[in-house]
Amino acid sequence: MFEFDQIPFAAEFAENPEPRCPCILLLDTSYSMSGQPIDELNRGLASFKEELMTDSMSVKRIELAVVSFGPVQATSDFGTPDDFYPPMLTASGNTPMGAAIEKAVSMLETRKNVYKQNGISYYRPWIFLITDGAPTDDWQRAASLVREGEAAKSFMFFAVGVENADMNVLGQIATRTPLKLKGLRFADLFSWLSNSLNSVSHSTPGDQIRLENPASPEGWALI
Amino acid sequence: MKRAARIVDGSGREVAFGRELGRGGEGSVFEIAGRSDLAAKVYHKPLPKEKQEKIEAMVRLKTERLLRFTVWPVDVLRDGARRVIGFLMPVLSGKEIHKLYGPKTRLTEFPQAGYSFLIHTAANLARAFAAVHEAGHVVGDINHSNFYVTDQATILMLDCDSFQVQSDSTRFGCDVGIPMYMPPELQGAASFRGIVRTRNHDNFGLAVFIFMLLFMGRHPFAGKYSGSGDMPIERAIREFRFAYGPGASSRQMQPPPGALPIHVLPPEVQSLFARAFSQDSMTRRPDAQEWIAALQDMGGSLVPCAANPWHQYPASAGSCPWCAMEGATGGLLFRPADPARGSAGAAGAAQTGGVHRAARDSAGGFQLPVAWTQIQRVPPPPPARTLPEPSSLPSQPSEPVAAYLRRRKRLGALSILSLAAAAGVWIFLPGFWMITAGSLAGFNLLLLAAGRGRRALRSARTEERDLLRLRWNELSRRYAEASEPRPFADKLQELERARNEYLSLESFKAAELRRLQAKQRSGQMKIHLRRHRIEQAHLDGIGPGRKASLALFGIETALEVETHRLARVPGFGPANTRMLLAWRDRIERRFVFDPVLGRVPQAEVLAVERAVEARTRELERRLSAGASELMRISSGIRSRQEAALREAGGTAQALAQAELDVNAL
Repeated sequence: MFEFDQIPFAAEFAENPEPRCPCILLLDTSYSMSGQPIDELNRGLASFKEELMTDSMSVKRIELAVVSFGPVQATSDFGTPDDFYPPMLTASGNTPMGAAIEKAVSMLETRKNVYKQNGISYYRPWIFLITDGAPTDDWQRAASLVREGEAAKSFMFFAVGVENADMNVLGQIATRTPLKLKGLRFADLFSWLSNSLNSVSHSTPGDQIRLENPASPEGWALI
Repeated sequence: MKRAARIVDGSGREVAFGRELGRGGEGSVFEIAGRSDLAAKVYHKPLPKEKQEKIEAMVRLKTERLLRFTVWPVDVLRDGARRVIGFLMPVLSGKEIHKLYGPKTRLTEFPQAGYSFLIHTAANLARAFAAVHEAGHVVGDINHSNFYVTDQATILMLDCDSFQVQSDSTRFGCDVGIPMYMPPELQGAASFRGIVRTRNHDNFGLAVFIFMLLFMGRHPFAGKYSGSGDMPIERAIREFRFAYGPGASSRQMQPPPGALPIHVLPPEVQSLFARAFSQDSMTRRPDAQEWIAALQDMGGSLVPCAANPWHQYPASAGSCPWCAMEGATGGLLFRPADPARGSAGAAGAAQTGGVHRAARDSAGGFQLPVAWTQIQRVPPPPPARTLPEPSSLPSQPSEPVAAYLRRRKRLGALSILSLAAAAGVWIFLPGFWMITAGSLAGFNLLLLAAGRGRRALRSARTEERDLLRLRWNELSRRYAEASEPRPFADKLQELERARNEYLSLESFKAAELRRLQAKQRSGQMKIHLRRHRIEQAHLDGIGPGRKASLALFGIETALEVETHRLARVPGFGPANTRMLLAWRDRIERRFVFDPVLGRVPQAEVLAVERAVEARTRELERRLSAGASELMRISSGIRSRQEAALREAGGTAQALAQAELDVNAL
């Protein structure tokens, strides 16, 4: 009497049908990140996982993916924090930021379709871009994708500039004011991000979330 | 802890705080020194007068019955100015309810919980609501972290100070609530402040939580929506889109794939859900008492699954739904059966006694062969196929190219004719040079016409081909990436390592215990050697002077007599060294191990056992979850591969066409 077809991804949703909040980290791994910046970034990623794991609801509701660019590649595909293994990023190549953003947007679309097919509710996804340079490719299309996505509330796009990042171009890509990281405080940044995601995971899909201001005097960012 | 003034309870006795147990947005909870049954909640900020009165009223309204189901305030806490700054309440036990209804966390947090445990918890949740409602209050703030479940399937509600409390004619409101557990009539409210909450509102939230307990964590309003755009849970609630209801399909909803079909439940339970979630009956949702009765009956109707001792299901289902669901999704829903049942509901226990026996006999917890068979049954991802080579696909030139080729052939033939005509006229009628010239011109014009359009067509098709070729390369790369079988192989290897380690745990433990034993022996030996002092020993050729210089280098007992130490002592030759070592050897041989004194301390044995036990459980957890993780990896690879393959087929066709066209031109 039970007729089930094989369904892709069904196991993860059968064991954990909680609503999901997908979050893509878009990480600049161009050559200029070499040395201390990339080390701090890697350390930040590892502690990010740990912090998300401490909240029993975030472990079920947050899904992380990492796209690194220079060259653009999906370093890890969407998975809950327990399933997320922080990649060891190395710096090389240029800064194809436009292509990376396009890839992130299309990965989100694919993931949302998987949720819909599986009857899983979801929160507005996050795209979190961290870069220390300026795009070396054509970023106009990416910028218009970001504008459309934000206008249609299909995702939230945050941009963070490190050291000599071109804040001007970031401002033209993101509709939200880009943030400038103080020094190399990646650990504080990821701690903020995990707190913000935790509060999302305790709300209801569709809720307005009030985020802690990262640009406060004790925060990790400057505007 | 920084708290300046002394804090007293309702009768003016000072309260001594212990450790902070938890910290929330509103306040912190502390241990009470000398009272292990009580905890204190202290607010971060001074309370408005109304909230102070609410807590005083709640303390007055405490009853035995409320305290069985909630951590109701039992006494106030006041500061020096007699302001209420918090309250005392019973200590909380158990775990958040979402850890029970979500299978992923249930397997680790409530490994013993079978379906009867879930039904039992649901009935106890209804009992808790009944207790609050009968006392005249409303829970209001229904959410996944406010209900705690113990390993006996009993419920404790927390954050009672946010309940809506009725004290005679005074009503203290509830200002909070999570929309995904709120009824349609409260959806879209900008704030809950000032809204009078009713039992009927509570009854909606109660039904949602009972549903999640019975449906493996699925929310009743999360389903597959066939309309366009998104369907967040709150909108679905507002629009009465219960995904499992009789009217679901007319509201463009259907249950998510792989979810428990609702017809598996007894008809009474199905109709209670329909009443709780449909528009027609929104003013008379089933109350807690109705749920208690229906869930008790359901608990009594469970039958054991013949194939899997961890599965129990309502007799009304006909066959085991869990086997079907686990088979279809590859997910793991249950672990071993349900001893908690013994202490709860005797009638139910008598009827499901068979379940327990069957489960105990064959399961008895984790079974490696069962878990390993499940792991081995997971199909590996399909190997990467050779993508259809674009050039090997048979094809005719596309229509515009073919049309062009036909025209060129025609014009080509005509131009040959006109050339032949020119030649003929020139040879046979040399006087008619004008005709010759005309024919030659015709030949050239026709050739020109035949070539016209070729360049434009060719460059357009070439450009298209190059684009397709790029796309093709990108696709082959993506396909290769998608087919990468390594994650699967890695996971399998990891599980094999876990299995080998699991199998070797006993011998590891034995070796550890032997090591402890050996350590005892060498400890006794050390003491024995140390007892033999050099200055008291009669050693030929080693007088007081030599002994003194030995002592100078820290060599005073047989224990320190070691070759490398002796080598550092000036003037100590090989003969003396040999002699001293022989002395030590003789002493060592006289050593007798005292088994009583040498018993390994219990604490050390326990430490080893605990470590092995913890490792055993960790490995069991990993191995139990292994099959479903593998399945997920495998089906993930497969679906990515299929997506790439679908796209590749179309591109290959288009590319082959473009290649052919370009070659034909």
